[in-house]
Amino acid sequence: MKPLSRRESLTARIVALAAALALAALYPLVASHEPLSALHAFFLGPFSSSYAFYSLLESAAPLLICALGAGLAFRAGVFNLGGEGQAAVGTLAAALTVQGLESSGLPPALVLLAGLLAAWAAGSLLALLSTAAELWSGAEVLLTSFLFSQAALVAVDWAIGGPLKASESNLLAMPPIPAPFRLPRLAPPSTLSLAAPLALALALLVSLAVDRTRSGYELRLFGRNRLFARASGIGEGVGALAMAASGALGGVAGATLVLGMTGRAVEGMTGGVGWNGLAVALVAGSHPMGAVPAALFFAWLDAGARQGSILSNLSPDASVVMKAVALFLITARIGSGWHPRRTWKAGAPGRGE
Amino acid sequence: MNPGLFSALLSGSLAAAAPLAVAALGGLLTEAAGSLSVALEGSMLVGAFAAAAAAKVSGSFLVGIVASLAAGMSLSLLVGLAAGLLRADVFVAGLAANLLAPGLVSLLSGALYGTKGVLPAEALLTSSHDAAALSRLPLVGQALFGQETMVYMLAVSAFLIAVLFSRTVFGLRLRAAGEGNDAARAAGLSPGPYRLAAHLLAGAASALAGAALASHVGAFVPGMSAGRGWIALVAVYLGGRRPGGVVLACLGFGLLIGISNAAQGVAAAPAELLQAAPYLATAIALILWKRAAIRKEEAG
Repeated sequence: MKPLSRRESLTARIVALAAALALAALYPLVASHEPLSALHAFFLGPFSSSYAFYSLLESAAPLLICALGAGLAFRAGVFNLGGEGQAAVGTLAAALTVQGLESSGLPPALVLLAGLLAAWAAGSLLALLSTAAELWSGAEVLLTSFLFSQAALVAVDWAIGGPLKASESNLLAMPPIPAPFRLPRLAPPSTLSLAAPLALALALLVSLAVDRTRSGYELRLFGRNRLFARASGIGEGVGALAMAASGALGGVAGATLVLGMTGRAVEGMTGGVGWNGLAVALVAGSHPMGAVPAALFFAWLDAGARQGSILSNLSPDASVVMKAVALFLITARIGSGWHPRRTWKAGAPGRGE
Repeated sequence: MNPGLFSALLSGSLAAAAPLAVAALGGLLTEAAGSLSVALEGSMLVGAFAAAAAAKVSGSFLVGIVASLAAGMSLSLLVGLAAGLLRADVFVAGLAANLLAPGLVSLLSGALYGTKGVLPAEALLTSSHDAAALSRLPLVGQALFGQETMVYMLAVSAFLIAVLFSRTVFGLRLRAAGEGNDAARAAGLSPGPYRLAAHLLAGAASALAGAALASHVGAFVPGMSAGRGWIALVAVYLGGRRPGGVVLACLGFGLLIGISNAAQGVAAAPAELLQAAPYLATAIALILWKRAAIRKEEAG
């Protein structure tokens, strides 16, 4: 992917977000019998109560963490399309670890930390499979990360709904995690937990690591021009490091779902968080701090559509369309030098241009 | 292996390979035009949904197929226009289409039919040719002559796309467009329209593959594309930009899917877990293939 110039990038971002917002405004007007109240529910619903607002923050947390992972890989020029599966193995690793240690007598905070670390390791290992495959054979990470992730998703869903399922439950879910071993709730009764500040801290950390450390510099160089990076003595280790960290963040995002919002591992619980995180990373131009507002924006669209579906007759799926529109336009180059007829004929950019 | 099992496996593998091949050949058109689309998966899903939705209302198989093609082309039109006219990154636009497809399908299904679940459409079912005389030939009879009509339609479509690609002026120009803007202009072509045409054809081909998935079970099931579009994409990579290679890769993947389906009945492993097999097998095939290519390069 060719990087956009700063100006193109800014134009594209404004156009993309404006288009998503315009759609968000148009949809209730077209689809609802009471457009004004639907519009109100969509735009302001998530801010109507502290409960709704805190829940919005909580749902942005795993999205942000996934976006940090996806963005980190992009910065190193590595296409990690496996965020969904990496998050899924993270949910399972966290749930299993906490379940295994909960009666060990260890302090709950330590058990919680072990759960997060297990998710970190699981996501990281799954991602590194693709790097190993690329180093050994040259198979594209873009493809193998997706394929391994899909296989992992199937396996995790099978495990949670099958052998690990809580026997007394009607849900396809593992037993609930006892409250002391969960991420502490910050503002009950809302779901807001320590996951949200954790996500923010990770964003700061990733931002510092990418912009201010030697590895971060090497990573950016590797991403910008692999040949030049190699010639400067930067090895494949940087790509592997980026992929490992990317997968690890995906795993942690999964862990925050289990240990925060839901408090148990449920079949299919990642529900697109990996793909949406990838979209957030693209919208944010792979900048870690830029991912914070982008994740909040996506979470707000989701929450707005949900509120709209409760209070009016809108569909909760509407937010998907808005997010996709933003993504369609986010890399558009319609700034200077854009001419509809010439651009159309040239069909730029082509391969290798 | 007992002959009955062999015959069933071969027949199931070909039936699984046919939609993959049509979608992958569509993908090959975009790859050759220099604008590889990753939206095959999304087009497949909207194609499957549109086929079932239209067939349910009209009671007509043909209307279902036409709707399917239109839906797949609409989605790929978005990708083609974003990449061609707005100069967006074609990969990101393809991802956007894949993200859009399940949401849009769920939205429309809820709005039009009041359900986000299975959408039955018996009109899509095509008759299978179990009773045809030739299908009783030993071993290969069932696979070659006893398939559902839809499988033969897919085979014809795959053949037509391959001919379009290799044997027509349009195909030649498409490939010239893929050699880069300067090369195309030197040949007196505007690459833009050819790339857009490739996207539209890829959308239609993937949608037809999706319609075939819906036709096989006579219904649309949410998420029924189940990564098939991505596996088709791997086939484009493996096929070496030749239709024959792409089809061969799809036959290989079809066999893997056929084996994992057949194993669900007999293997000790649980059926749900075996659904991971096609993904793993595809990844392993890709890795081994690439490795073999490296070795060959080193040796030669």
